[in-house]
Amino acid sequence: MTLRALMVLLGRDLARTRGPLVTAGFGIAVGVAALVFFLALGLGAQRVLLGDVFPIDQVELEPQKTSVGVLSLFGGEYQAPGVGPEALAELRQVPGVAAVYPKLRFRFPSSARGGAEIFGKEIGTHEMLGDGIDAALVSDLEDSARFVDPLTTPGKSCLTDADCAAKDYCERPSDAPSGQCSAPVPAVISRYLVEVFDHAVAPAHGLPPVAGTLVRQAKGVEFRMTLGTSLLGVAPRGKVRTVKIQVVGVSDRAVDLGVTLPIEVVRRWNDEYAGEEASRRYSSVVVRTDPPSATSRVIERGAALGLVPTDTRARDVSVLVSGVLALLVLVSSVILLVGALNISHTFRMLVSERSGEIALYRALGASARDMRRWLFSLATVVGLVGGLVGAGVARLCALLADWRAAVDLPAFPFKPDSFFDFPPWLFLLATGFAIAFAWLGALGPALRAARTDPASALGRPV
Amino acid sequence: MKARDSQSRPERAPIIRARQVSRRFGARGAECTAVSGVSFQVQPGEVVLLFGPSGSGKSTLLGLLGGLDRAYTGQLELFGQDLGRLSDRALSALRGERIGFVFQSFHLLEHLSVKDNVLAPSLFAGAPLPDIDRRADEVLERVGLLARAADSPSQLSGGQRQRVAIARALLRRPKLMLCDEPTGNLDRQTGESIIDLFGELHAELGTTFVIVTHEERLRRLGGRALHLEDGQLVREEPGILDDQTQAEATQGDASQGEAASSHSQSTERDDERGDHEPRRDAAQAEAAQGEATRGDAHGGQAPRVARAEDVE
Ligand SMILES: Nc1ncnc2c1ncn2[C@@H]1O[C@H](COP(=O)(O)OP(=O)(O)OP(=O)(O)O)[C@@H](O)[C@H]1O
Ligand SMILES: [Mg+2]
Repeated sequence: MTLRALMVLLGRDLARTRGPLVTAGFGIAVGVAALVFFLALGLGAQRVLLGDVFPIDQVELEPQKTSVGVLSLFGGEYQAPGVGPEALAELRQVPGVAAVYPKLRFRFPSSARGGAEIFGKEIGTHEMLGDGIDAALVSDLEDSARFVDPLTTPGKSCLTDADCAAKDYCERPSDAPSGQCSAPVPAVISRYLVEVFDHAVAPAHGLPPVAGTLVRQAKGVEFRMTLGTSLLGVAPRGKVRTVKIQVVGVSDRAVDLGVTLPIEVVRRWNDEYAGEEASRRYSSVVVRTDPPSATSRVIERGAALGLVPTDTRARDVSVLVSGVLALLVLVSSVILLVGALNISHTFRMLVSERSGEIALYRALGASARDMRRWLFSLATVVGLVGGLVGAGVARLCALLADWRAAVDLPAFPFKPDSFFDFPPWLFLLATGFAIAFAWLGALGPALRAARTDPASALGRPV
Repeated sequence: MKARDSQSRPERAPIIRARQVSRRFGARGAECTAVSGVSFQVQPGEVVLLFGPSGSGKSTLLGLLGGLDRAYTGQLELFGQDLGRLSDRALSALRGERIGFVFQSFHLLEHLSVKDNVLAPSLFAGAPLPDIDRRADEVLERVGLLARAADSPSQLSGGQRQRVAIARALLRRPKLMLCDEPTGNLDRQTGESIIDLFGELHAELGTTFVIVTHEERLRRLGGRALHLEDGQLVREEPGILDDQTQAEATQGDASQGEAASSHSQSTERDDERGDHEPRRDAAQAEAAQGEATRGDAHGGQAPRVARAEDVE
């Protein structure tokens, strides 16, 4: 049977049996619509949750806290726990590890004041926390080039800030006879901090929120940080001194509460206030993996080194999202299965109604294979149209849902523009599923049609 | 004389060769033998009529001959090919290209026009023919229904429907026409016109016919008659128009002719490769055709069984 002949047959079927075929296609369309909608929602959720909220292509490991706590009870002098250079080297060996970035927490008390530029008055905190990270970790910044140690290029010698340009300060370690003029140390802050500020701090102090467009202006915010003293006390060594900090952006890699600075700066200050020993042991390490699935290996290796993930939420969320997604896909598959049954029923009817016609075709030269092809092609058309319509409906529903969400839902952290992802392969998958289920439904009837006894054409009328 | 001449030539292969063919239906225990140990041959250009009471296995046998039913025992060859060994595709192709079926109840598809019905075999069989559309017009013209090409079969009379079915069977110029009671659903007059049409087609194209019928009047087509009873071939009558063979066999006593050999017909045709050459002597063919034309025009009131005496 030629393709043209097949087209002729299909055209006639569509004209003749439109009602039942449309009904059959409808079942498939509903199933596909559900499948595509849920999958797109799942993908969107995964993008938002795992991409923005809990990035999972990386894992942060830190020394096990409990063991440290117990040890410190007995230890004479408090030995700061940490991740040593050997551990870093071992983690780099794990297959699938793209990069290893140590983090260095502030090992000195500090406080901060500033922000007059955007708040109209100075605000401050008596307890400033923070850490230092590799510049490569803040590649998500709009202008990540600004996140560098200002002393990479040495400044001119100075004794006090007065010796430097107005915007700079004199970086002069506690015991040094002189310092160098330094531009303000770049810092990134977390989105979480911005949210906390806007929802808790700002209302309490009658300050404007900084979220949204203000986040961008926050890049210009400068403040002075006082090293060596805080509300809780004074550092055992080093002198109290003041440095300048400039917020250069908001980053997912920034510490939740506090500021995150270039790691070189923090290393210098830790040396100065806690000793070199402290600055050589990192507080934690961020391991970025490619593919993301390699994170599980990293976690295993880390456990052997006495390191645990700082945050298991990412994994929990990932498992939860996958679980819910699997459930929804299952539901959609059940709908599709019902659609397949529907097709099966329609085709069974069609084949038994036309058994005389099929027998006639057989007598006229149609092979069993021709008859199978005919019905499978019909099922393909029904599945294809059902699949495309279903995918289209899902897309429309998603647009509608996003529009309602934009209108009705209040702004919340990480509120995305769309809760759905529609990669092109999703449509291919959907039509593939639709056709597969249509075939599933047509299988029995098609085989039956192929088995139709051509001799029966002799006996009874068509 | 002609027949004797051709004896020296290699015999042309029969179109149908059946040896001890049987067909049973039903589960073991409650078996029903519809066709039982049937052996016969059909030569190219022959007309063979299958007679027998209802339930004697005529339709079943015809289905076997057309390769529609392969659940037989024994040996059955069609166009020199063993049906038991052909794949479904090969057999279907053979059906589509070389066999035309005509059914008692016409089997036209009501959702298609007359012309699309005639074209239906072109959907399946073998390589598409380039001039198939013109060919459809030709066969419709031949059965006198070209003017109704665009109509629905439901708008046609029984005889017209059967003629559409015949046109459909003729579309691919089959070598073998298998007809199951082609006049069974038609009134007498309409039946006559169909018989005439068969006569003309046979004369013009030399097509081989195997026709299941109850009606003696089909004997005027000149073929031999096979009689089935309870699935068995009980009797074979020579064709009434097999004048030469009969003349030879009975030495002039044609009216009593008994031992007609169907083979002689085909051997006679061995040297006549063209399908359009008349296969009987001119006078007879003329008579038959004249009659056929008359029958077409006037519905056939004249007794039209051509007798051997007529020719003598
Ligand atoms: N598909 C079948 N299943 C079971 N038995 C069958 C089947 N087809 C035919 N038979 C039986 O085979 C026998 C011959 O049937 P068939 O139709 O060949 O008879 P027929 O000579 O064509 O009769 P009629 O003149 O009434 O058409 C019958 O007894 C019939 O019951
Ligand atoms: Mg019958």
